[in-house]
Amino acid sequence: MAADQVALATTPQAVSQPQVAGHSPSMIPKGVSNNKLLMWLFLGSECLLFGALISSYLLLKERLPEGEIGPEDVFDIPFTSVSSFVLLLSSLTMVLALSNMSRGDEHRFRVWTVATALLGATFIAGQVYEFSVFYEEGLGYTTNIFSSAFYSLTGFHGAHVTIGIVMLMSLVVLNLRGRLGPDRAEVVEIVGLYWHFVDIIWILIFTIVYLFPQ
Amino acid sequence: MTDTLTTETSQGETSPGAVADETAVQTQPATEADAANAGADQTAEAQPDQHTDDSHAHPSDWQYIKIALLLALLTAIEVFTYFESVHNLSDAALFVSLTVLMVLKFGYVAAWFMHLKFDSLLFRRVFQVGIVMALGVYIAMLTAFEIW
Repeated sequence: MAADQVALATTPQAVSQPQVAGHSPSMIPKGVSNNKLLMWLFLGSECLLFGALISSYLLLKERLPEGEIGPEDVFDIPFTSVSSFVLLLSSLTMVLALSNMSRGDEHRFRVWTVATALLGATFIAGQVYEFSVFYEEGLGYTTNIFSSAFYSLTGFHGAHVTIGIVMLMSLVVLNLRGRLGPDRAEVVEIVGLYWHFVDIIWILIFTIVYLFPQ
Repeated sequence: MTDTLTTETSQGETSPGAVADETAVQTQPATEADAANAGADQTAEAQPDQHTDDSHAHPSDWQYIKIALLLALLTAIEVFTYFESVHNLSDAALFVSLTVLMVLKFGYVAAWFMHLKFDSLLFRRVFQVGIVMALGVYIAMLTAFEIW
């Protein structure tokens, strides 16, 4: 038995076996990418951040004194609904960008990625407009307990979307410089995970903050 | 870390302190029987995820478009609930309906667009832990605000 072990240990096959055939050294044996796992761990921790912000909003909103400006006074549901559709559509363009990169169609990858970034920018523009309207109607960040919680929650989400846009445009620049090709499609997938997470968070915010009965 | 991971056997056991020759034995099927066992284990683990390699077998573009259309439909239903003239639901019924729609949309995006339906079970577990902990934060805050 010991002799067999020594023989196996000294064969080149045995030495190279720890890396799964056809995968880079960053892949662990079951085909799970370390980079993707890291992104999922980050997204798991982000759940805590947004969980805390949504919880704060739900609890503080209930403590709004009578007569103070509240959600029903300022929300424009049709406008926010359009923003929601825009962000939802950006998730589709994101998966199409990844799909095209995986197939090696780099031109279409760039088209869909830029489309995703533009849709994200449209969402942010809508949010900036919404905030400015609210401010004109008298709802500043420190106006009351509801406004602080609302701006913190939606502002943090907007910041995440903005970071996502920067990441998407970085992908396009890297691709144009020849540093991101179909062999590194996983990078696109990881950025896509972040983008879809931002979309998922908006699904929660839109329903909980805007649509739930006040 | 890498050493630990690369010495994982087909049964998922690790031996970070193993000497080199033992590691070599663990990391390659020594016999046909070992190889068969390893294949069986991998198959058993792969079944819930359809595959263990997270870079293949993603849906087609048309499937993505169909999911997006479904999500748009669910969002449209959500928005219609805002207009009380098109429904006659009580606040409680509205709350339940919106929650169901929200969870459905969340699930579809996570499963299809984020590929949790196809990727490693490990990613799903990591995300689920995050969600459960977020719910824990909410419960902790309810307690802090003496809601109970």
